[in-house]
Amino acid sequence: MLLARCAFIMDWCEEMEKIKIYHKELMIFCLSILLHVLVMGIAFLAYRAQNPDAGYVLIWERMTTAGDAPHYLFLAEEGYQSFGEKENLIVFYPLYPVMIRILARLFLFQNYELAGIIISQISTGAAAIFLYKLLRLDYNEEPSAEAVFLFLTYPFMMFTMGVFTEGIFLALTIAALYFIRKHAWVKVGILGMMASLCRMQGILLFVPAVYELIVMLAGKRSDWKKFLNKRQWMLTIMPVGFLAYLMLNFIKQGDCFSFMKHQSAPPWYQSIQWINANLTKDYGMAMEYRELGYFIYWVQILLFFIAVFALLYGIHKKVRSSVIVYGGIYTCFCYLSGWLISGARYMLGCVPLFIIYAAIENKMARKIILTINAALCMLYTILFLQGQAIM
Amino acid sequence: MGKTIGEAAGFSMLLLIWILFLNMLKELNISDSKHITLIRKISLSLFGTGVFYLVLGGFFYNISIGQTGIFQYDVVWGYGNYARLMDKVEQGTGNGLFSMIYLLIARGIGTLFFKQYISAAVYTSFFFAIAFGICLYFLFQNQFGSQNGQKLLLLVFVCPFSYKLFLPSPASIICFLLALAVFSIHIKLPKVNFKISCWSYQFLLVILTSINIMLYYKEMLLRK
Repeated sequence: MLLARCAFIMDWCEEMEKIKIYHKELMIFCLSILLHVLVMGIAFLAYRAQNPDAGYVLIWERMTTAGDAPHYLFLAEEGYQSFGEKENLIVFYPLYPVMIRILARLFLFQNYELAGIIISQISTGAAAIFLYKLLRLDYNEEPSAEAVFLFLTYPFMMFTMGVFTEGIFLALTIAALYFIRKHAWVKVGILGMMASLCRMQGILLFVPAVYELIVMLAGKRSDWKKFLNKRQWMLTIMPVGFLAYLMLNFIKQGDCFSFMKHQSAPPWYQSIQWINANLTKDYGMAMEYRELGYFIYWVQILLFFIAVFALLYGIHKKVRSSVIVYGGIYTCFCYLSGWLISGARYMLGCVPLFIIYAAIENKMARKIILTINAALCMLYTILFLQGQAIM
Repeated sequence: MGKTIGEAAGFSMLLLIWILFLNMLKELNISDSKHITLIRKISLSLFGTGVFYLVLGGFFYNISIGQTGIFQYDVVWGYGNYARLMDKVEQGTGNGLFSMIYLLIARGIGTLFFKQYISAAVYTSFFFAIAFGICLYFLFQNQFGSQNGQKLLLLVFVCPFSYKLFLPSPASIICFLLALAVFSIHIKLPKVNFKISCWSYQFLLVILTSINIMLYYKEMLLRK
């Protein structure tokens, strides 16, 4: 009996040790959830000052009905359609709806909304943890912690709370960037493949991965073939996610690229244009629809220049090249979209910006940026609750 | 204003890609680190010079028509016949071999940039102007030494008609090919000891800049 008790205590102590090892990670995860609750809670109080009749159900409603959330929920419940009104939903990548479906059916009594929110919340927490781990490879505790706060209070972070792909995409992207730095090629391959099954931008992770591999091999100054082992070849599975998506298009609608046909039609009107034409159009739209300008167009224009100058600053501060390469290609890719209205949301996925922020040596500058960021986060969350065109 | 913002964005992205490219060359040990740093400095300076010329052109045009804005996008971008020829293939390829080469390259670049032909014409000019500057710098450096090289390069980019290098015209491609040709011959030439006094150099710089600006102003006025 005594021996059994001792064994139990020993096991318990081991568990506690494990928790101690991961206490930082746990803290960041809890911080992510806490910040979500706090920001949304305060925004709701501000909203209620104007609308005293509003109930807490509003938060739930906005998280599950705003933007593309209903589309993801439909896909999770009904799947992709070959014909009819909903056939154009094939433009949405399958990873997130599949995850919602599995979680809802296995554990949540088919509560798809809750499943979507849980996945987003957990993924954002995981993204914050990997961002911290990635930052700590190059920077001290203080700038790393501040960068995590900057990430968690990004003005459009409300999209990481609800039924949107932001959370899961960020978790996969940041984890992949972390393992790229650690040269863990098998994990990079798998995460990259999942990211390309989550969003079109996911395939871009292939570029920093290959670049980092080339830099590593160039450093060894030897025969490449000799060093390319099986693990490194795993990088080639990264585009498999995208190929699977093309296959899905073919199976459902008989054309691998049917998603492009739907994207170019209403309500998305997507096309590919060079950045100059897109930002010229953004300015025109900002002038024509003045109110929307503050939510969409001016924000997109401003963020583009901030991103480019931040990346140039990152090069100057000798931030890891693979990270900068990813930032450059991601920004360029996002702004090639001929009908961009979610640029500000997409730029949350430009993870290098948070890493470059940690490279700023001036503490005061970092704090000013963080304060402005938090203030804007609050403002845009209130506007989001109001039902404004935050996309 | 919208087009100015758009073009500034396009240029910023190209600048970022270029700096990233140079960084890659350095990191992958493809080229000598010192050379890359030098090329980065020269290309950034020339890029700045080009942007200065573009803004100045718009400013001049505005003065001539009595407007207050500082930048007139269409005038500078649509400068000369080449911009007009860019997106109209059926109207021919200019008057000579270099015009043809320039338009072919610029149209190719325009296709690459999703049919933004007029912008591509300016990008092409910038690209060859910067390539010309880099080529010229190494030419001067080998021939006259590093310090003199810098001085002479500055003179070339403020000399009369140098503004044409950055506008839609085959001037930059002609200059680049010429510099490249001279660079290939020059290797066999002996080094020349060349000294210019500080006073003479500044005098020359001021005179050349003045003539250049006067010609540029005149050209923009004529477009009125």
